[in-house]
Amino acid sequence: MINSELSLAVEELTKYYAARVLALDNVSLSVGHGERVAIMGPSGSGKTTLMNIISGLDRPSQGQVWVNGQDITGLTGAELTRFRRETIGLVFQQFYLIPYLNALENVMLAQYFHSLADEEEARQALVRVGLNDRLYHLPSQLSGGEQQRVCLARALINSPQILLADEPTGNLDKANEEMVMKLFHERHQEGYTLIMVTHDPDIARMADRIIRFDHGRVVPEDVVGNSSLAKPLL
Amino acid sequence: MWWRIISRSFRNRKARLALSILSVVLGASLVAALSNLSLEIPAKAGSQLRAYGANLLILPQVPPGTNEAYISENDLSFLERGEVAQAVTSYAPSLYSLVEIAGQPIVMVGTWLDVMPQISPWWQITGYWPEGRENMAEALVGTQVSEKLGLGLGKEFTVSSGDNTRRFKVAGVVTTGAAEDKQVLVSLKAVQELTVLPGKVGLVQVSALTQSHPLAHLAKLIEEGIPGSEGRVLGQIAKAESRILSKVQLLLALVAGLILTASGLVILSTMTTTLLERTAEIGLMKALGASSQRIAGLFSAEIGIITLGGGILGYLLGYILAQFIGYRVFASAISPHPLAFLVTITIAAMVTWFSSILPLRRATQIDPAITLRGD
Ligand SMILES: Nc1ncnc2c1ncn2[C@@H]1O[C@H](COP(=O)(O)OP(=O)(O)OP(=O)(O)O)[C@@H](O)[C@H]1O
Ligand SMILES: [Mg+2]
Repeated sequence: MINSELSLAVEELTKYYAARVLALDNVSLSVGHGERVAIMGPSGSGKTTLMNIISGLDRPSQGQVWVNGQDITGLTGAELTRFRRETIGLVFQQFYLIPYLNALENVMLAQYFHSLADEEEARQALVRVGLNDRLYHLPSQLSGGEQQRVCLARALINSPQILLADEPTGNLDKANEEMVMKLFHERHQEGYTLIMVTHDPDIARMADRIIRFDHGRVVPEDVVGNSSLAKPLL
Repeated sequence: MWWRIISRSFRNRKARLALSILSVVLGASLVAALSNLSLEIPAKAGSQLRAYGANLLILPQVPPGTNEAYISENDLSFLERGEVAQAVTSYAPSLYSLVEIAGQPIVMVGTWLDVMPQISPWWQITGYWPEGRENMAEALVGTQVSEKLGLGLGKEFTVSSGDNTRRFKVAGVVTTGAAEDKQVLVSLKAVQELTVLPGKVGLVQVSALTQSHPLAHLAKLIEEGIPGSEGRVLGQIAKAESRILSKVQLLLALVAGLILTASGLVILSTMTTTLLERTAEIGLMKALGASSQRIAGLFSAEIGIITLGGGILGYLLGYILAQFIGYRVFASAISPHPLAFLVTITIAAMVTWFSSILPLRRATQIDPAITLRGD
């Protein structure tokens, strides 16, 4: 039943926060190797919850998550941490850089947790996102777009199989948004699977496929079509 | 990389780091002072006692209104009889007199030259001890006297006291580092004749066994057996000193305990605030795949540096404090003790770790999913 061709397979996933809050309601979906998927949906529809469970930061209440054919719902906390550092790259809306480390060191930190810090490799990663003259700047000395580019370099430094990005352009202006998105797609040639949460239809359209969420459920494709026809330009 | 993270993080929180280290310094300095004093003072007192071959002095009781008194040499045979004889291993009577040699006033000591080497085994002699208890011709000269008056080995010199004079030959030069260096030592009989005090003794040094009898008891027996005498136990000096020491120790221990508790609280609260500030940072590190051990390791290193920095500074400060107390209260220098350093660092480490355990546990339990959700 589990296709090892798939990068990610989610089966009947349910997540309760406390007894009353149902954040994910019986969600099933799958993503192929190297596929670029955009996840859209209104606020509170469970997008971040799904991302957290896929990355092993959180655990589901019910259901299974297979990453590269491995069921991660049975892993212990330490195994999940290891899975995350070896398989997943993360980019967040708020950047989350260590404020007292410069750009280069922030990238090296991910190397250090993964295995060994390699300054030259980290430098090249920053050059590839166009930050060759910002290596020794602290996050506070960088613009939002530059910070997010450091985050992208950091997320990719250990060659993850899946890159998870939760509204990576949510805090950026249009120009920076385009710049960062261009990098996401450029670097996609390196062969990772991209799952990105976004509110921006323009950005979503750049993906291979869009998955829509509402009230913790995946909205079926035909309904997506219907509803977008029913409520145009609202 | 490890060091890079820690040093950067320190630079980012200089004031807080300084406060943590300062609180350890204060506590550690008192521990260092306490342990240096406790290790050094009893050893000092002990070595002073051991240096004194004699542990009991017999002095004449000075009757009111007079300034000179003596014990009769004949009465000393009491020390060789019965119960007292069993405790006394050796004794040497002596008589002091201020005489003139080559126009200079010098203290001359007459004693039993044959017994003296047993009572004062640490004396350094060049030349030889004059032979015979009643040797009237040879003298031991203190090293300073020998230099000042040009009295080398084999030289002869004249001593005058009142109308009497007598010639002696230098048999040996003595070095003790104490009063003897400025004195001239001859037989008891020679001084008695020079000063016309036949059969008189000014002081008796007694070395006695202490296992069976307390020295105080022996002193009492001697006072009863030798008319006009007073026994003085030398250990009493050390005892008074050790009583002061234990009071100083108690005071230091109390203050150290209070300050260490305060340091612990300061560290607990700075660690807790630091951790609160760094919750997002720790959550991020975990999201990046840092294991709990890695995170605990980073924080432990910071705590370790606070411990070592505070401990070493505190030890230096405490050593200075111990020196000060040593000079002021015990009139002796305190040499730095490696064991005291170990004790200081250990206690500093215990306090910092004990007050860091809780914040550290909380740090490793931070849930990255929650801290990163802070939108
Ligand atoms: N730790 C939590 N405890 C309780 N409820 C939570 C917790 N985290 C999320 N929720 C709830 O779960 C639901 C889904 O939240 P989630 O963050 O996944 O939504 P989202 O789709 O990412 O929204 P947004 O677009 O605003 O980021 C929401 O109703 C939210 O209030
Ligand atoms: Mg969200």
